[in-house]
Amino acid sequence: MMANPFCVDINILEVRDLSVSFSASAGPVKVVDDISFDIKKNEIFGIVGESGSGKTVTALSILKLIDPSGRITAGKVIFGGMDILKIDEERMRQIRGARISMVFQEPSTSLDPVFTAGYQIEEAALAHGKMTTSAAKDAAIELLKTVHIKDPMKVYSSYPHQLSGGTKQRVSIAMALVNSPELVIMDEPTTALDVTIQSGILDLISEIVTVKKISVLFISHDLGVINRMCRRVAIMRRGKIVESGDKDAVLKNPSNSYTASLLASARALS
Amino acid sequence: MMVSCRDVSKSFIGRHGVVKAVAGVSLQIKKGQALGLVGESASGKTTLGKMILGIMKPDSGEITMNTSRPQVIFQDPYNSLDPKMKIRDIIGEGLLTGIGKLRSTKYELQNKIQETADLVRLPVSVLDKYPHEFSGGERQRIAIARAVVTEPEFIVCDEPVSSLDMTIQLDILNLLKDVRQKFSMTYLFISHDLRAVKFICDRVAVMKEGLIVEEGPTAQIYSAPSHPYTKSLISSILEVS
Repeated sequence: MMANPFCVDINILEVRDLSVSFSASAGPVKVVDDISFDIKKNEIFGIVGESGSGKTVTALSILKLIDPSGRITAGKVIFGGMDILKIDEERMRQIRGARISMVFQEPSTSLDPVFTAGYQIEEAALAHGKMTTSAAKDAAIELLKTVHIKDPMKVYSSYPHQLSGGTKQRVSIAMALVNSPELVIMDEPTTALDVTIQSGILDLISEIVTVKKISVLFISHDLGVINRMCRRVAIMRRGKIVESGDKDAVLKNPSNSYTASLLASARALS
Repeated sequence: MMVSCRDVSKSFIGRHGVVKAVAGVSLQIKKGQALGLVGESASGKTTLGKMILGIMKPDSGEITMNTSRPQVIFQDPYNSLDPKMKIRDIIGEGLLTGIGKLRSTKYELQNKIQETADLVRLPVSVLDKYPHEFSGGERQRIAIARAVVTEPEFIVCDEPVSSLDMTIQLDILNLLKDVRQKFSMTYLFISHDLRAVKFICDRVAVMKEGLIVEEGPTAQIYSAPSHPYTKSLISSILEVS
């Protein structure tokens, strides 16, 4: 695959020696165990792993959104020249949802059922005080067009239950983009969708990365999806990154036996 | 012929009126065949499977099944196993209710349970534990053991690997393949995952909006799909290399 011509060799996010533990009845469990990786400007960086490997906790740690039972025990997350693990909650709120936003797996639960799609996109903009109410409305409608929703005005005033899974995920993506973030974390953004719908959403994500020049941390359990989307990948297992690097190199010549077994399973089924 | 459906329909009354889940399906599954039923969510696959099993009655049409003891494996082994029952009792229950070959003595019953656990590659030590002590893959092995213990001729597998990790999926699919071969069973394999269907099935039926839009041998459906919907499904498969 051709490298993204816009991808610049500047790190937008650096995760260094990150460890996260959760307390459990049998004592603390290390869910993320001393991992490091970089996300470059304007690239889609993939994290692959099976359930319980620590992918989602990694993503949530970057946004400092892990459950109260979890604790970041070590490491740094460098973003915008500072270690965001050290800043206070007030400053974190200026980053979360604005400079770093997130798209979750399940749009039926990540959208609020009692508000319209349009309201929820506007709310994300207004929460950061960057826009007036009417500017937020314009931005919401414009973004619904950007994510290729066919009837943006109708979807703007629709409630989530009136929308299909694919449209809901497009709305979630629009919401994540409304504050012009530098980095969007996408945690299994197509896993809940049918395959033909998945394909359209993946196209949209690639397009947005090119047009908006954002970076994406793309988390998936599906090597086929990762292969299509990412330039560089990290493979996670039991809280550790067992292998990382250029996607083509990792998928062609895995150096780790776990990566090899993941690939073998995926190939046996293709 | 193991299963024969003729012009089967089923509607549900929803909040927004009548939804035709299955809209006139005719389908046959030969003895010993593994038929894949592919389609996206809400295409009617599970409803059709339930009607074939006799769990649900069709509104119209006719279904004949040439076996008295079909079995089923469900998608989510976190819901399909009774949390209060020991694995031994989960696997053995089918032998007590009369649909299986009745084991006359306790000894024979326990023997059969152990033999089946062995077949699905579960160690004997699991038998006195409870479902919550197992991972998703292990639970699905237990569900398979429960299904095959009665030596059924026909099993409906409804998305049996969809909730599992990739490496575990392959294990379970291999197990389903082996078990089928050992007992020359017939499968209706319901899945939205075209890769899993290709791995298991001899024939594929593609379902969309309650109708079967295309049906044929697996190799032909994957190499030369004729219906545009099948084409779009096949082209959505993402390969790793």
